Amino acid sequence: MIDTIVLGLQQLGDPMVWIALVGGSILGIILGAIPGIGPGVGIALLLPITYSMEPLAGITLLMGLYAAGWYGGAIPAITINTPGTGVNVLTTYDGYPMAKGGEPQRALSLAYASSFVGGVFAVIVLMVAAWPIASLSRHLTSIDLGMAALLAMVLVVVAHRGSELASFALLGAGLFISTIGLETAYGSARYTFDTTWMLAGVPLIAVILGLFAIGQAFTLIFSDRQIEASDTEMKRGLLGGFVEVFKYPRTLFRSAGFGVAMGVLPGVGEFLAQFFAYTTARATSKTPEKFGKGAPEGIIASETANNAVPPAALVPLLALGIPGESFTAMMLTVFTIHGIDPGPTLFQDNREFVAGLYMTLLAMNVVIVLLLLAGTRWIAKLSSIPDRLLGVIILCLALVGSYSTNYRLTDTIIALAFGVLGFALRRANIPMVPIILGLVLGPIMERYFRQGVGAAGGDLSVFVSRPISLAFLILIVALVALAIRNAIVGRKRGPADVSG
Amino acid sequence: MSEDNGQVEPPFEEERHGGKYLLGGMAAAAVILLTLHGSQTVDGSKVSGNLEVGWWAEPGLSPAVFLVLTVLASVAGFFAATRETIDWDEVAGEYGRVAILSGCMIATVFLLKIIGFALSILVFAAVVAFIAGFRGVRLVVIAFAASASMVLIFRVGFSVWFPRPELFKLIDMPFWLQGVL
Repeated sequence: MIDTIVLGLQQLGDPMVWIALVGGSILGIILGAIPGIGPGVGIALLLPITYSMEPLAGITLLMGLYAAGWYGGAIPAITINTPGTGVNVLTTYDGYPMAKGGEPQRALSLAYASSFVGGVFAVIVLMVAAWPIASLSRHLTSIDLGMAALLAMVLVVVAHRGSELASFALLGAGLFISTIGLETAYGSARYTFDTTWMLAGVPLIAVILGLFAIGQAFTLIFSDRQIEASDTEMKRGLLGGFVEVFKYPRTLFRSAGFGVAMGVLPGVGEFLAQFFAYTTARATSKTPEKFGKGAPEGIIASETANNAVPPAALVPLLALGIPGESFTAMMLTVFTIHGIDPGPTLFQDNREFVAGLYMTLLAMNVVIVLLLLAGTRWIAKLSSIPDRLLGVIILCLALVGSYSTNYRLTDTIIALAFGVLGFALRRANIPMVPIILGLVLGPIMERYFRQGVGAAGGDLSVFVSRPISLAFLILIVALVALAIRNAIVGRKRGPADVSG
Repeated sequence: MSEDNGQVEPPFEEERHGGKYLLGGMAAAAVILLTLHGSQTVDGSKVSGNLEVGWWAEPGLSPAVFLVLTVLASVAGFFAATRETIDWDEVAGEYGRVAILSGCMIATVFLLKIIGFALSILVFAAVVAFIAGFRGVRLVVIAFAASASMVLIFRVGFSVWFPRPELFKLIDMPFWLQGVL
């Protein structure tokens, strides 16, 4: 472990890593602090740029955006009762009442300190757990890994309660789109309609830009929403929370544990992590009546849990090469572009990269907190930027991003097509994660299943003859059955708006 | 699930619109693609010089499975969804504006090759800002600020290359300035 730390610190000597670290953190805080935007748009827009960077700097930039977004989202949640991102919703419950009660600095400080503890705790878990899990995964066969990828997708679908059928449909669409192009094993063209530009397949970057950036820009450009700037007076005193959080050690570390557990599980993520952490904190509190009225434990629970998720979400990605949600799926593309193969070999072949990643993640939490301590006063004003202006800016960035990746008009057209789809999905309130996961995990799953079934000479009993794949299969069948049952029960109670 | 999970209960909850029809459209598209399966996938025995390949390696297997999944789930979702009352005029208006914005983006890609990066973005930002409802001085400021920012970020900051536009072949301009604009 000490070797890893020393090696990681050496990687921090690269100035590009620091530029990515600080730049990603600043952008993440800004995007998180503007309600309705979130770091997803920034990750989509910056993804093409990271392809030309060194892998550690590229991943650091994206992780900076990802982690800092949740930190920044707490600012409008506390100052104007409007969460910056979906994962800061529960922070409004106690953060805003505390701010309205005349203690905005205390609320913000508690949020920053809790986020910091959650983030650092999760990085430590990542450092301790990723390597053993990766070592264990060396004993997994192609079928086991294919089933793990399938399980990850099913978990993501089932996590979207109320939209399971729509999520399954989008997952199927994403998986299908991933098959378009020249198939590598036999060199046959699939759904290319005799065009040459489709032989390379549907460019993932165009899909991501379309769904996340262009779709969001279309939504914002037609928005009438105008949020008033915070009139909260920001004085000094943002450090107090870093002592106060440790007065609630049980809430703090239990919430961090929830965040880590939910981060490791595909498809669960920050939203459920903060929900579980908050409800558990209230249930076990000596003063549950104070929750919703400015209880410090409420802020600690939600912010610790949601900030523990991003590093924990890297565990399945690094150890198994299987992303559990859309942001880590986007990061997997950076690994692929640079020829880095996540999974057991990563820890042997790219030790410097892994060690560097651990140290940058730790440094990232420190940098984000320092930036917040210095800039909260100004960041709080960002929430008043009109949506329509943000839409114009995002559309300009997406235009350049979609064209400059390959200098092909077709990429821009594909991005636009997915932008329209993203717009429609947002209007229908249908999640976009399944389509991205299908696109990223489709080729991985197909490759593993082909290898595994081929090695068994086409004998399908290979899926049930090994305990691990059998266990995964049982879990998948149970989850699908549960999803169908939920859809039927939901239909009987009153049909859901979209998908039962 | 990160931010996307927030969509389950987003901070700005709005009514759901058009999900039923979106799923219906997806089902129809998937059925059409399934009917094209025979012509759009070539079986393994043909592509590998008549070598015997197993069923598991047929190139058409995965697309077929995934399309069937899409059809089943989207059809089920379509019938499970509530009947929606849609204001078609409103929908036509919204998607009409989206179509105009999309057309502007495609036109800008052509403009890039004619008048260069900075001017194209200036025109694009001005048109988008106009569609977004900005007028007068604000529109001009937004267009110029957007163009200048894009030049600084992509051309100066990340040195992103773009093809030399036709306009620059007609104007005597320093090479470095051509590289920036």
